[in-house]
Amino acid sequence: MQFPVCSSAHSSCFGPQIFCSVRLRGRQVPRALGHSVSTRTLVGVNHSRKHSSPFSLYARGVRAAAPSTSMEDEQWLTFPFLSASGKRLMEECADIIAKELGSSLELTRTPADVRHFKNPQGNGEGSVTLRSGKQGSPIDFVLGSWLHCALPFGVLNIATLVGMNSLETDAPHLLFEFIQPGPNSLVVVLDLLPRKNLVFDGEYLKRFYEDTALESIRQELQKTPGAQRYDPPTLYIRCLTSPTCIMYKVEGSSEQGQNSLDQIIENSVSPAAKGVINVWLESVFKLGKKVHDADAEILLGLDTVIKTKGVEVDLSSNMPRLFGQEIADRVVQAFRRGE
Amino acid sequence: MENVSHMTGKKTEWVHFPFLSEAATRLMREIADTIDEELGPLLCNSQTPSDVTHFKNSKRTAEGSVVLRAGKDKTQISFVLGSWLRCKLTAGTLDIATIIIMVGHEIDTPHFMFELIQNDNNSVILLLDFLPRKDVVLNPDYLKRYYDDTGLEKLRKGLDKIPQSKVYVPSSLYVRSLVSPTALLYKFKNLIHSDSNANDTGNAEDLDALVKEIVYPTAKGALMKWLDAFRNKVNKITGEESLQLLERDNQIKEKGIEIDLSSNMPRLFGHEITHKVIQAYRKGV
Repeated sequence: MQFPVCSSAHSSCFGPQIFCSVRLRGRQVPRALGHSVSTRTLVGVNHSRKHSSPFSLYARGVRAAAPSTSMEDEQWLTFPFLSASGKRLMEECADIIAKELGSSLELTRTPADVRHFKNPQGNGEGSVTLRSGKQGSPIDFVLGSWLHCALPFGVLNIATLVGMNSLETDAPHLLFEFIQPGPNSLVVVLDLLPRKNLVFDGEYLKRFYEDTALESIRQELQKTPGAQRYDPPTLYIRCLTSPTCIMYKVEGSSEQGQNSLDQIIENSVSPAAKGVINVWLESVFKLGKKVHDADAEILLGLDTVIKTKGVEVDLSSNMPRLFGQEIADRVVQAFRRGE
Repeated sequence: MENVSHMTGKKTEWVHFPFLSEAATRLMREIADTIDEELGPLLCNSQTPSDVTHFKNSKRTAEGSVVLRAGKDKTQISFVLGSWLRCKLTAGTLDIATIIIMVGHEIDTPHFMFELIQNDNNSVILLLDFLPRKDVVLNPDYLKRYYDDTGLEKLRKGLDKIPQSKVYVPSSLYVRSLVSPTALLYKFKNLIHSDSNANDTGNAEDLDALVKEIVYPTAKGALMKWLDAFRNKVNKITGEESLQLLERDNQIKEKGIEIDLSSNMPRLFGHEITHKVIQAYRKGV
């Protein structure tokens, strides 16, 4: 069973029909229900590529094998309701992920009614898109989603990017949530979720957290004027995150509203997000080690807890209320297939 | 420091904090006394050697004290520790006061950790937490029993609202991984006054008032919650699980506390004193 992490209490991850009609997507290959993608990752050749720099492919413009795949790689996600800066940020990040992971990822097979849905009341829309990792790759799946809701206190926009790794690597998972509860404020959650117990595993802490740029990225973002730590309402979510987790809320100035927030997005959030994604890619392709059989069960257990507890908290608290049980169930099914 | 027997009805302080501000001294006093009253019957008198209960460096720029009291039954309470450190640095004077209750490996109550750091009356840093003995990701029941249900989060939110408070992020990533999701980690500084006459004394008074009115009830409240959990919520642990607790506690002691001691103390006090302190700490008496 696979569930992606959607770890803000507001967040739910939801899919888009808007761009289905705009651009043709990969074929919807029927899958048997309950097909578990995770078993694939224990078998077969390790397809992970070693890069000297995570941006090497991006710079050289190398594409995956077939030309049709490369066109589909670009813009596998769009974020139609965010401000110009937010939209640009999320789409650029989605592009980086698609380009760098390239041939490690399948095209999306998420059903159209999960890639876009609306609620009957007409005040909520959402989208969830998943792309599973190819057999033997270090990626289990990647997920992109957005939610747009007109609520009494204002318009809520949540955008999420998640990268869940397979057992081909022990590298931490990627979590990026970008939440605008209104035109004047912003919440950013950016983290590499640890897959080992850091109290015991000093080597893991050192390899992925002490020796990477994560702490300096966090400290830099913390300097943003008006940035305050964001506390997720549930204690459990705080336990899943790493010691270098970025969780900040920022209030823009009310006179300038979206403009001042846009500046913060461009000047502070964007470099931080790209920096963390960079470290994640580096972790997956360079720093990560293959998981030994002895550790596999424990890691898989932890990954399952992250997925089920992450989703359980989110979906069961938000989706049925905003979109009804039917849509909520459909989205959960897509998660379970991991595609 | 010696403790007088409870039976005579005369008590001396098991740990003494000579250098803190008035309100901070009263706070540490209160916490130490409460521990003595409530846990006294479970604790031995301190047997910490006198050159560990008080030490200075030859340059007179640093002074410190570490007092330990072993638990009578180490499977319940391993030891309690009270310590203070004062150093005169070029940037100013730093006073660090610490009280820790290390729990034994046959019960799963979190360790109680309380540290107050005063920097020249300019700021106060508070570290107050119940250190988890289990991985809360894999043990949500543990999280619920000792963190959700104890109301520690409410105490934390109270501090969050104070205008003078700012979240304090420990520089050690390892310490960040040890603390609980409701850890109270805050730095208190006076807000900048437009009045240019605001002098150091004024600042000191304001901060002391803050310690008295806000930090004191919070810390006392946390200790009472801990004592309540210790008495009423405890799960007895045996066998394999107990070994796991022991292993985790050893990690906390070595990587969390001992490393902290051995990274700062040699520079301030030299290797001989550092070695004696660490020996006492390892013995837990």
